[in-house]
Amino acid sequence: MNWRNIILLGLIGTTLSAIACAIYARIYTQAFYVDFSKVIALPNMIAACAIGCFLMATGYALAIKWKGEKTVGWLNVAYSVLSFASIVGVLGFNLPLDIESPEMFPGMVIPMHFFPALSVLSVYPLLKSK
Amino acid sequence: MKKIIYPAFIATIISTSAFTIVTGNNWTVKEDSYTVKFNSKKGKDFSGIFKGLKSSIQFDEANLSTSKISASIDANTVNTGNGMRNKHARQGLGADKFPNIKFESVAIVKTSSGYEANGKLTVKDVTKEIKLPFTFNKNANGGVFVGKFQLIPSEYHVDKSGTPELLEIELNVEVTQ
Repeated sequence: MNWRNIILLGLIGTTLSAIACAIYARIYTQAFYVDFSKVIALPNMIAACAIGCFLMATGYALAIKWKGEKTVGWLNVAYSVLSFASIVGVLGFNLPLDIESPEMFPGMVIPMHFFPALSVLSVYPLLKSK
Repeated sequence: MKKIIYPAFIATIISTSAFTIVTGNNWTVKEDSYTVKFNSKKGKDFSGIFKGLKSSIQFDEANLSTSKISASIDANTVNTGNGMRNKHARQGLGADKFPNIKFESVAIVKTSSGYEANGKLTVKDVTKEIKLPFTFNKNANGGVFVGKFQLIPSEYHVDKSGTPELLEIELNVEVTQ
């Protein structure tokens, strides 16, 4: 996997996951009448997705360079486990006190934590075959 | 006819003046212009707010002996900014069984820094006497009561694990007449 594909993987992953986050946030906000835009605005979501996707893409490149293609499967497992582990941060997160219904916050943000991994894992086989 | 008119006239003047005096001392809390905030001072570090303030405030700086403050907040409205902790706090306060936290003043006295309301605070099934120091600043639209005091939650049977050992309560209440 060359650096061009790594950047492409990061970019496509970021785009897909940011779109998924934005759509999900809109549906959730309208369905449950909550407003968390103060803490998770669209730019924040895009930035978080970009960091996650580019880190995962870089991880593929480094792992393949180090041990070859056989590490990819374990790396995918690691990405899934890390995404799952990251929800601990959401559960312990303190919102500003003027935001109502903080108990609804994890329901909105936890699924979003899986979107970067989902998009990168989905796109990787397509780029790899090229 | 005069026999009826004079007593009626005097009665009207007395009742009107009495009404004026009472209205002058009565203060109404502005909707959504108040904060009842608590900060942990010892133990787990967090803060939170309460909503649902209901109050009856008769306060006259020139006549403290007739002044009286009673207020209650809805324990179910506790918000610490974290959903899980809110649930924990509601359980600790026994909000389903004791939905109101109440304060009723017995006497209000002047102090060097402002005023002090001596009264009874009821949390859960415990009522204790407390001293609530506060200031009152009049402004064009009414006034602002600002108060701060500390309490030990375990003294009020709020002793669920993770409850801070000492809380500081901050009150900032905008009022109109």
